[in-house]
Amino acid sequence: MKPFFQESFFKMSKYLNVWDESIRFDKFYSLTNWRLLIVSIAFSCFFFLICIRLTDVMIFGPRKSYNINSLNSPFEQSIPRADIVDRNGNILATHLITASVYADTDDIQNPKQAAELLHSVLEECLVSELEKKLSSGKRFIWLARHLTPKKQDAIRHLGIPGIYFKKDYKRVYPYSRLASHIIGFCDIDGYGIAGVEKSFEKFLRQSNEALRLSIDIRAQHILMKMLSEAIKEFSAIGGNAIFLKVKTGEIIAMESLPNIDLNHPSEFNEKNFFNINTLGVIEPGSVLKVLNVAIGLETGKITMNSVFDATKPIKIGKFVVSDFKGKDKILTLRESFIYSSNIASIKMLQAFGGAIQKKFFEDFGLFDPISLEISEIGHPIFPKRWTEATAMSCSYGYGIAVSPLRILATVNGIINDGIFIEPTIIYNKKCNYRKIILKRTSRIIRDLMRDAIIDGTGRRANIKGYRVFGKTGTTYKNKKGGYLNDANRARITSCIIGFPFEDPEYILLFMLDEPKSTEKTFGYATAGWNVAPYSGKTIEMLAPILGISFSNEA
Amino acid sequence: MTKKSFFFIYLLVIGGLILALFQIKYTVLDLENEHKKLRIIIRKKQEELHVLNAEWAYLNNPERLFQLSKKYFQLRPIRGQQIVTYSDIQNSGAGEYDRERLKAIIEEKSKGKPFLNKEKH
Repeated sequence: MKPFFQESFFKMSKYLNVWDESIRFDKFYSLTNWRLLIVSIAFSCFFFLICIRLTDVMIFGPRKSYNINSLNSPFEQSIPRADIVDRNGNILATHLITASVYADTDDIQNPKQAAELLHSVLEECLVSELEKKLSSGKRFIWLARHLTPKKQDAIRHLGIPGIYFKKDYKRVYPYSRLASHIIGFCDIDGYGIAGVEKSFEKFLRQSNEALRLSIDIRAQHILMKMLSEAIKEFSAIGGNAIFLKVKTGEIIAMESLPNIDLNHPSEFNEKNFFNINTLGVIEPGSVLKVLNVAIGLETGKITMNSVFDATKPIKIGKFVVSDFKGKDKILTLRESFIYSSNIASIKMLQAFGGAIQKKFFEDFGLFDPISLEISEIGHPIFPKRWTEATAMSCSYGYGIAVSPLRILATVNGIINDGIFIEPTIIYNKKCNYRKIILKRTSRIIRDLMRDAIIDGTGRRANIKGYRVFGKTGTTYKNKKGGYLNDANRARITSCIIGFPFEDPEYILLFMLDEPKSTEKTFGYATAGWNVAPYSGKTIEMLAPILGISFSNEA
Repeated sequence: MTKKSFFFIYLLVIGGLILALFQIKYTVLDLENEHKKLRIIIRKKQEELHVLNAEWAYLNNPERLFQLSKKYFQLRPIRGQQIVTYSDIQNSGAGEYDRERLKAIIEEKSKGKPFLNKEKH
């Protein structure tokens, strides 16, 4: 390269000499040269700039580099909210792409005419309201959300300037009423305001994968069907049921009637929005006798050979506790459990005492609200001072009010070899568990519950083939500060029933609110006559779906 | 090689490189455009699929299926008694019986003809 530069310097000096001479000898000629020099420098600069710009444009490019990372999931950006599915992958909640119409009022020339035109398509909106919106002077105002494609097309064809569409997402629930209290719902902008939609808001917004619940939609359907049939037959004002997997604490189905149609938020009210299973707190009644017997056996204060004198009613303060259809004799433990004797329950309590009872109740978790993944959880109600009267009423199921899910979870812990598992609505979740009673005690309780189904109050729940075991309970509703004592007093009947007996896999809680007697029940409205047969029927329908083998022996 | 020819070749190579660069650049641009178009199509298809999935879930509502099966089939919910395990069949001896019967049926149908063409073997 050296000679090349030398040569050019040599040439340049030559030219400079020429200029030098011309400046000296010919003024006119030198002026021309000067002009040429200036113009050529100007053009050179100009071309140089163009070259720089060309390189910049052509090689480095004016735009941002192509984002390779977004290649992997093209749909990523457009999912505003993940789906919710049941344990088998059926979609419980998803979104549909809709269009919403808004107005830029600066572009609207005749609000009145535009409002009238719009009203011809959007019949649900009033003309006056539309006109008010269109003449509000705002640059952005919603006119209607989530239009059907037909309506969107119709509005487009109206051709009103200043009316625009925006892509919108509407949350839809294909099964509408099924599991409605668990799923919850979203507001119009797609933010969860109840149930799982609320508690998993962050997950649903960020995740690309669906949220999988432990619910089985088929079981949920059967539960809802049986519940509504039972409510209809016994003219109850409501009912609820929970179906739990014993070993994992997964809730397979949970229904509380009346429930809500998630796709029609307008029909929500205080009553149908209320999930009795988790939010309601009720006195559990005789179902709590399972706990009472378990405590007695666990402490060793009572054994299978214990006998209890149930001939005389017991007085607690001004109340007299007697047995429903009393046997008026000395009962063994087995008899007092299967006939659900209140007097015997108090006698059992007296064997171990109120302090121990309170300690066990605390251990069972009866004083804590249940920890479920939804926010609609009721706090238990119990007296601060644990008097003898409290302990006595608790022994047969009164004086303490807890949520039905809490009762089921505790009974589940007792029958599941004494291992208590926090219930969950999430599929395959690692669950917290703790030992509450011994395996030996658990076995005896299961035996007793099996007997209660075979010869006791739960006879009508004894369905063939699934070796069910359980306990029924009838509670009188606490109204106006007292338990109404007339023939048609309000009851809550409940039945807890598990199966199969040898190695429990599923457990069901079935409750009716204020069931009435019918001709078929011979005037009775206690649990053994209404919830027990329906629990049996429900199990009969659920078991084949869940693959529990039928045995001809039982 | 003279300086002039060296310079000429030098220019030629530069020119060729520039041409190649632009060729690649425009090919990439075309591919990117195509890719964008495909992504839009994919997104549209996925949205369609999404709607179809939602509809499928809606159509599979257990209550609806129950009513449809009641209307069009003689099908009823399965009962526990109808489920039989393989060991049940073996124990009941039904399996043995069926096997004998099956053999008889096959023999009757084939009427003495061998099942396998032994000549070929």
